[in-house]
Amino acid sequence: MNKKIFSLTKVLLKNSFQRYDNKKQRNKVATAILYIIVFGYVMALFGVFSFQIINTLKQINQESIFIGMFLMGVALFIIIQGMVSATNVFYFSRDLEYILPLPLKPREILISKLNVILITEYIVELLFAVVPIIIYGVLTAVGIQYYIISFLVLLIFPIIPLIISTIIIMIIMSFTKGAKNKDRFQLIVPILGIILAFAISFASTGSSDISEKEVLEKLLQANQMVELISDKFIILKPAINAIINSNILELLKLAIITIIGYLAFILIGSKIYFRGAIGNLSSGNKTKKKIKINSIKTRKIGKTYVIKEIKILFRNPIFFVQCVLPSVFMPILVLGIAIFTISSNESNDLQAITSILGSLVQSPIGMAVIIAVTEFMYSMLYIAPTAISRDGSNAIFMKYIPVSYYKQIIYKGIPNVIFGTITSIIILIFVYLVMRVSFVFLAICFVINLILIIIQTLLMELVDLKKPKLDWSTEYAVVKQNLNLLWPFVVGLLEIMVAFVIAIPLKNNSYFVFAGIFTIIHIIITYFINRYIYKKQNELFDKIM
Amino acid sequence: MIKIENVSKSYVKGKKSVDTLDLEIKDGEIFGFLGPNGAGKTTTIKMITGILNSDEGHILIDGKDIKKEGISAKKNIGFVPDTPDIFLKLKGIEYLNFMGDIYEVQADIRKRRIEELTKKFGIFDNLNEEMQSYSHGMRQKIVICGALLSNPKNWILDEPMTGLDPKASFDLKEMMRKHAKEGNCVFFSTHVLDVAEKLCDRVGIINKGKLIFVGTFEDMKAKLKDNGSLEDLFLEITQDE
Repeated sequence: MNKKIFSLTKVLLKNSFQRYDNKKQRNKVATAILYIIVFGYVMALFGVFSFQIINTLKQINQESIFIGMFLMGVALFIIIQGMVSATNVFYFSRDLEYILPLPLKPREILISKLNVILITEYIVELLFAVVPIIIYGVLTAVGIQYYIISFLVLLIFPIIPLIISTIIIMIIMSFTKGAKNKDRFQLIVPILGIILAFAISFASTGSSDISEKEVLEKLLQANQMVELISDKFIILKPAINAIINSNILELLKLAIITIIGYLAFILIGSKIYFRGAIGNLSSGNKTKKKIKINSIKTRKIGKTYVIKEIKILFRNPIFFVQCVLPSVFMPILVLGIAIFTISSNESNDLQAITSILGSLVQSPIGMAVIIAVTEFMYSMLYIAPTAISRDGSNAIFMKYIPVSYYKQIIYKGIPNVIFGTITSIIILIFVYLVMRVSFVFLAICFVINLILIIIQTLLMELVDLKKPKLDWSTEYAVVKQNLNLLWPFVVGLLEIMVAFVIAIPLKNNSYFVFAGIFTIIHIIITYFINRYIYKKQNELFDKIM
Repeated sequence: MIKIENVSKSYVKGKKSVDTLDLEIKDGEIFGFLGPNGAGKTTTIKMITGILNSDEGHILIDGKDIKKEGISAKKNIGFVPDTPDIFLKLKGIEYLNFMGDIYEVQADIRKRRIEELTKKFGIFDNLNEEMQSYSHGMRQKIVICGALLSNPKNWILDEPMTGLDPKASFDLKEMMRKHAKEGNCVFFSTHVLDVAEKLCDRVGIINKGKLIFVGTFEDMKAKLKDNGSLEDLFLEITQDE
């Protein structure tokens, strides 16, 4: 790689990662442990999942099907994720105005930017793809050659999907004249990705039958899809064959196709990239609509503060997509599938199943399960853990306005409670539709979820106040590389543990007993957190200056 | 009135960024706060506005301690920070309305003030646009409008002329004069000696956290002649311009 490309890649990478600098050694150790726990958890999850599929397929000696499905999954994931990354790295990273005046060839900029995304994808691969490959290797007892070739495939394979998504984005950008409205565009791409993911899960989930025979049938159906796609998607077949048969020739074929694709990318990219990107430098909404001074309305301080928070959250696509969308969209996705399944299957069997499920779930354990699902969704809601950091250098605003710090903490937390409650309602609708539980049960679950989101909100605001990330130049720095965002997950896990620790000994009692104990404990916790915030409000804002 | 009594602040132990500062800005006065980069100007302003807590001493805004009676003290302050990039995703009108709500400005007064201030600064027609599309100067103007919307008694402005065009700069100076004439207090930091000379009733010079001079510009000029070190400092400030 030429020296210029190497250093540009390095700079762009550093810029896009904006490392969270922890100077204290103790913090570094804690950080490392936290990372290991979370990454370990995700890797283990994928491991267990892969293990089950491979084992099932092994019963009919078709385990090699797994590799096809696995690689197709990787490709799809990279295409979707690549589109988001390409939009940001190529078009919205705000660095082009500084890079363009430098003595660099267009292809050098192009390659460096692609490298940045590629390196991110390798990290993602490390998380999701390495464990399944190892498990497949262990279960099918293959030689060392398998591991070497698989490693090389994982290295080469992401390049083409990434190029495809980048070219798609470049074409869209040049057609839309550089997507003048950056904010809206940044919202559309991830939503499209989610819809695509929704469509795929929709297509692959017909019903919730779980008999092994049908699982096998489904896997074989999925394999047919892989075969169908691999005819069109030319890198899939050589990659599959290279891994399954440890075939060097197939690996070579994959490499050659990738090189050709790479060259084509440089050729096409140099033609269309800069046209769209340069047009984009002058983004911003320029439509002039005159103000009607009489339309001004006064609002109470609390209301105006909360509205301001929500407006900024909604108008900033990066914050909206990263902080709100996952927690609200995920349950909608599940709800959509559930409604589809129920409406397409009106048989008596299903009704019988829902009524059985309904009586099963209306118990302490059932309630704990609902709490667990809700907490899991809450752990993806990042409004509160970034409440202060999102303001960046504006955070000092909070300190010079005549509103008490305590009140501001409450106001800043309200959007988190609102969106958490939306998530909770979606989950409860789902519970009702699938299990036909009583309204009393739903109402109790709603109250418990509300208390939980209040606790989560206050705790996460405390986390953000203790370690605010205020010195940032791009919004990405707030939501990526922000270790505070691991805390919702930790608190979620703790809450799930608490729920089950209370529910299991009470499993033969009514759910009212469980709900009563759980609620009282959490009201007491909320009281103490609230009191702590009220008493320490001035000290809590010490880091903001 | 702003009263600063024996105020000190250190960021690093043993090194005072502001050292036993004693200062009183009377009603009806425009006070210019001068000093080279890193002298302690912004730290002082941050303590006056409640952004930073002083380690020692008291700051009183119209007799109210900023630490003990923060909320009521802050109600009497209109603060313009040195960077105007505030809530850029809000439209200009939304920002001003938000400030009006926070400082509880009545609807009819608010409408009148918004129209008056923004027309004066020539940004009335841009109020329906998001502030991220504003130029640096326009952002500075809208932040000034927001700070002055509630017509607070005490104006505290950190480098307010930066980024303003000559007309806006002139208008702001006029507004400062008028505000002081009405018996209010204006405290602002600046690098521009020319502005300080023409505008201020008194100036204060801070260097390495210590207030080394307080008085009128004439006093300063007289002192410069027979005080070599002050002259050096004067040169240093001038170099920063």
